[in-house]
Amino acid sequence: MTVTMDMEIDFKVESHQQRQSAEAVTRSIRSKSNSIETQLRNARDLATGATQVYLPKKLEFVLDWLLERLRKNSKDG
Amino acid sequence: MGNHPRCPYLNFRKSVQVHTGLWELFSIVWRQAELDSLSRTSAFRKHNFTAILQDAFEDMSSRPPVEVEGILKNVNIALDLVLDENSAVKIRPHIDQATQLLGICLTAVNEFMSKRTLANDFTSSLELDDKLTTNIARIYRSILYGDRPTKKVCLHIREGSSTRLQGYSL
Repeated sequence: MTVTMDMEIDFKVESHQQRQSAEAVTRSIRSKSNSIETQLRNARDLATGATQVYLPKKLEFVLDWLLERLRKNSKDG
Repeated sequence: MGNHPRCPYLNFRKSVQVHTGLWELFSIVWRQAELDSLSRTSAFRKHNFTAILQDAFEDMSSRPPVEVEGILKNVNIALDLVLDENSAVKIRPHIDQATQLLGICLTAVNEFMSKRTLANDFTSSLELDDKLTTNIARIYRSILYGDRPTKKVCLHIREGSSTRLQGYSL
């Protein structure tokens, strides 16, 4: 019983941390307070798997960000 | 382009690296098998890829040839991937936009060529220019002919006593 509860708590803590880190990664890519170089590096790390984070549809997210930036890049990048 | 007022060259360089990096990353992401067709098509529905290409070519005019070559190479690699036969997406711009894109592409390539000629630099750019203009022409051709296979046929036209052969693309 105790073991099961411990496992549940561990899982909750782990999933909370994962959620936080996934959120932090997406925020670091989207945040306008970061330079475009930093955003690009973070996006590249996420796409190539260098950043170890569970993020469903991460490639879709990076592709969407990329196409947005490529459109903007010539204007204000 | 937003160059720095005191040191325009610094931001200019930075921007070139960013531009090249974005196109490189596009190719990396597009090659990933985990990126499903639905994600690809929905991304292309959401974003106007033709306008993105136009932006990229318009941006070339202010850049020196070495930097243009770096960006053009990466744009061409991305186009190769997107226009691949097995690609999940089709680029089908409106005829006006396609004509504009073709014009901007040819202008950018010609400017690039003349800058290189002025600088007496004749290394390795011809192949790139050919590939790039062929890729853009493929977009243009695809909206004229759709996905129908095109082939050259010979048509005999009799004018008075002489017979000519003319090539027609159907």
